[in-house]
This record gives sequence, structure tokens and C-alpha cells, in this order.
Amino acid sequence: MMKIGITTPIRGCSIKDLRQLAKAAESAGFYGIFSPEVPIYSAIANAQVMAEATKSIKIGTWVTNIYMRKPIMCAAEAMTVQEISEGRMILGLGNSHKPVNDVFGIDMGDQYEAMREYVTKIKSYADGSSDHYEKIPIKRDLPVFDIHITGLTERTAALAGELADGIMPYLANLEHLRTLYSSAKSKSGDKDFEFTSGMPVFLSDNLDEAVKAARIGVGRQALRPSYKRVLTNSGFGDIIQKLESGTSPEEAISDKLLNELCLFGKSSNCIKQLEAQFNNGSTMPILTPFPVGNQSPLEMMDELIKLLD
Amino acid sequence: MNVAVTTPVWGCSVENLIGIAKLAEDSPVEALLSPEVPPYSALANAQIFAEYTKETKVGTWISNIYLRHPVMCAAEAMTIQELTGGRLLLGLGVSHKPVNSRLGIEMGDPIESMRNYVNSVRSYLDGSSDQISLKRKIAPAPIFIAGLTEKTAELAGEVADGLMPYLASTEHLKKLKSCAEKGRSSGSLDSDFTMTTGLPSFISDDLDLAIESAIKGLSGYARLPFYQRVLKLSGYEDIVKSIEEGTNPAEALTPELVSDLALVGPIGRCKETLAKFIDAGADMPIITPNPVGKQSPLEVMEKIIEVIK
Repeated sequence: MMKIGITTPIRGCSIKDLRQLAKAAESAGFYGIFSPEVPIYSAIANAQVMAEATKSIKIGTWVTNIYMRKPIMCAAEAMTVQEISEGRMILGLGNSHKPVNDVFGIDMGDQYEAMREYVTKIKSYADGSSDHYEKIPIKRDLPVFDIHITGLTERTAALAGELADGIMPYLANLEHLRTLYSSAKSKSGDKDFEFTSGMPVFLSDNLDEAVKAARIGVGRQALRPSYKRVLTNSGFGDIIQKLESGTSPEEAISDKLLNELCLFGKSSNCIKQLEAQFNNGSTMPILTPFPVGNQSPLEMMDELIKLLD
Repeated sequence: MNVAVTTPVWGCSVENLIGIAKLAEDSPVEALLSPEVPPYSALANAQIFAEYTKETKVGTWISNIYLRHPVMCAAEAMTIQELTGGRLLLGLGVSHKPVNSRLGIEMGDPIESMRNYVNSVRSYLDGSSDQISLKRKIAPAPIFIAGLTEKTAELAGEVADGLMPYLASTEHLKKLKSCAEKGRSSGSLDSDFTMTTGLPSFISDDLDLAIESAIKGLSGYARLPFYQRVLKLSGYEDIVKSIEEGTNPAEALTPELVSDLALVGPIGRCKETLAKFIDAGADMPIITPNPVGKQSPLEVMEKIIEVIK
């Protein structure tokens, strides 16, 4: 069975929409539904809403910012979703972006070491091995949830392979994904490991509008430092330079970039690109829907479901 | 009579939380609040209550301000506020130095930390913060502060919508209320202010067993510096001094102390104690459940409801 995950809208939506999206994703046969975390929304709170509304689909975060909660609280909240969902929780963790964290007064320190320490602690709280429980003897008897790390570079991909159960890259082309997967695999050994691939999606029968939305959508994300790096590693350094020099996304973002990194246009025309992800080693593409025109969250979901038809 | 109840301090299963929430909904309980002892999250628990109630207020008693960035605390609170249509009471506290130290948390100046945290959370809740580009149209939830001393009571009056003391005698409660009123008059908030008081409960027809359970149950609190301070301020300097000098709290605490500060014994006796605290100025007593003998969480809840009726 092909496993395809989707996310809820990056810029959030109402609880009513979250519930409907989760139920629709479950009925349609998606493998998992994940919530992004852009303040003033909490990915874990959203995952809890979706866990309450569903019975079988995997529920998760894509991705929770490690600087927003102490590891024990992140573990506690993930454990509650794990308990509600009876073992369907996937905790995606990331460092977010320096400009975002700067706004909230967060000093990221060494991002790599911060992630290593955070994941290690969360695992120890979740599996009960932390010495915290020597003083507070209230272990929760739950199966441990899977942890995925956003890995946009070879180093973080290797860290995911070493410590986590999966990797969650985004905006990486097929070649760079292969590099990341290889790095993760070098450390993950024989353990079960999820190689996901995050793709922005702009689906509409109106190709011109979809292309326009894709250029603007990707253009807005492209200048975040970590995305700049992954786009450069994917061979699009020239486009980053154009964007940095003030060229508008509509002009700077090339057809090649859209074709390699996004799904856009008519759903039926995107199947080959989706298949290419699996052929490239992805075990679960994660599709992030963006509105084309005035599409509502549920209309975006209708378009995503067509991919499974 | 507005009386709130908490779920067990040491946590319980999601199944039990749901059962307690349903019991609360069908009773005169004004609000159901969750403590926060990791690996349990008060906000995640309150979100569960929100899913299974329609009228009962839900909330936290109390969330540790050092475990989440204020924007994430606000985000999670807003999800509960949205789920409940405005029934959230957000209780915030600084927890305890020994607890925070074990988690590697440097508390700094707890009063100033609390002031800054409450002001930040409020600015995210009411949308006045310029750090947030996404807005959620949700009525701000009232914010309560845990406060055991006159200084924190004054701060609550100044920046919050209510005070949440615990283990305070009726005389100390009156002082705290007076300080909160002083803080209110010096601040700029004009919302209603709610004076609560936390009352541990050990309800059983077997008075001796209830007193024994209360002494055992409260002995752990008597080791924590903040609670030692409130016990002193409530007139129990000698007992605290004895504990500080090495006496086991379980031997130092007396039947008089636990009967003064907790609901202990048969229903009628507990009703009388509850009435004393209401007469002393508690707008909303908050009863924390403790088992006597082998009472289950649901049995304890049923007994508390009998006291409130």
C-alpha cells in the first residue's frame, strides 16, 4: 500500500475544519494527517483534536518547534495524543526558523545539539527510562510514539537516522532527497525508519492560477534560512539569489523548480510526480496544501482526495 | 455556590478523565480543572474535558509557566477556548523550585517571571501582540495566578482575573483577598476578579481513616518550600519549624491542621468546612480529590459532588 500523508493548512484553520479534514482524510485512505505549528496554533493541540475525531488514520505534527516547550511537556502532550489515538501518534520535531524564533525572543543555540538533546530527553520521558521518574513515580503505561526529525541537511538527516524513527525533509528535489535518505540510512541501520518527503501542493483545474499560487507560495518560504539552504542544495541557488536581490517570486521561481518540488495544477496530472517520490525512496510523501485562489481548507482537501482516485 | 473540582494531582488515564468530565457535567460542579505534574499536561487534559462537556467550565490548576513559551501556552489555551465556546479558566503558576531544578529550569525572579508571562499570554490571547501575524477570533480566556503570599496576591489583582491559593487557612485567605483587591485598584484591568481557594479533600464516613489519609496525603506538600511558607502564614509555624528541623512531615502534621485546611471526613463535616471558606471570601473553592482507602478516581469524584450538592 502506498502511504501518503497530508498536512492541515500551514496558516491554521478552525477546529470545525480540523475535524472535518481529519475525517475526510481518514475516509479517503490517507495514511496520516499532520498539523503544522505556526503560532498562534499548536501542532500538538491540533493533533489532539484530530485524534478525537478519527479512529484509524495516523495523527501527528509536522512539525513541532522544539524551542516552544520543555521536552517533558512536549512528551506529556504527545503521550496524551498517543493515549487518545490508541497508538497513532507521530511526533514531528523541528527547530523552526531563526527569524521566527527571534520574534519570540528564543536563542536557538547550536540547533543540531539542541535537537539531539531534545529528542534524547523526549524518548526517555516517553519510554520511562528518564531519572525524572525516580522522584516523580507516575509513569504512564503507553506504547512509545514515533519521533520524526525535520532533516534538510546531511548532518541532520544522519541525526534522524541515529536517534529518531523518521525524517521529514521539505522542498528537497529528488537528488537531494536521495542524499538525505542515504545519510539517514547510514545511521538508522536495520530499524524501521520512515523516509518522508514534504511537498507543497497547489491543486486546481485552473493551471494558470495554480502556477501563480505556487510561485507566490514557494517564494514566500524560500528566503527562510533553512529553506534557502535546502533549495540551494537542490540546485536552485540562482533562484535564491534572484529573490534576495528583490526579484518577485512570480519572476524568480522557475518552471523547473515547480516541476521538481511541488505538485500543482490538475490532480490527475500530478500522479507521475507522486510516483516518482516513491521510486526515489520516499516511504511516505507528505503533501502540504496551499490554496489556489479562494479555496477553503475543505476545498483543498477535495483536490487532495482526487490524487487517490 | 460556585465550586470547582480538580482531577487527581498525580494524573489518571484518559478514560478516567473522560468519566470524571461526564460526572462533572451532570453535577453542580462549576468548573473542572487539571493539575500539571509531568508527564501530564494540564492543558492537554483540559482539552479532553472540553471534548466531553457542554456547560461545565474547564481549565488548568495550574500550568507551569516554565514549561511552555507563552505563545504556545496561549495557542493551546485558545484551542480549548475555541472547543468550549469560551469556558476555559487558565490557571498559571511557577510550580516549585525542587521540581523545576530537576528539569533544569532556572526560575529567576518568580514574581517578575509571572508578571511577564501573564502579560505576554494576555497579549497573544487578545490579539494585541505585534509578534503574531495570524489572528484567531476567539474571546480571551480569564487568567488565574497561583499565589500563596501577599505579594503574589497583589500581583494577581494587578494583572490577572483571579487568584488560586492552596492550603491557606481562612484567616490567611482573607489577607490574600485584601491584597488582591489592593492590586486590582492599582492596575488597569476592570474585569471581574475571582478569589478561589484550593481545598484538598479526603471524604469518608470513617473519620479516623480520612484524617490518616489526609496527614499522609499532605505530608508531601509540607516538604515543598512554597507550601511551607503558606503553612507558616496560616499559623502553623511550629509544625513547619519541626519539619525543617528534620521531623518526618507525616509525623509533624496534626489532625487539627488537616481539618483546618482540607475537607476531611464525612460529607456533613466537609460541607461545614467548605462553608467556612466561602464565608471567608472564596468566590470559588477548588476541591482537589484524594482517595481514602481504596476509593477510585470516579468514587472520589462522586463523594465530592455529594459535598457540593
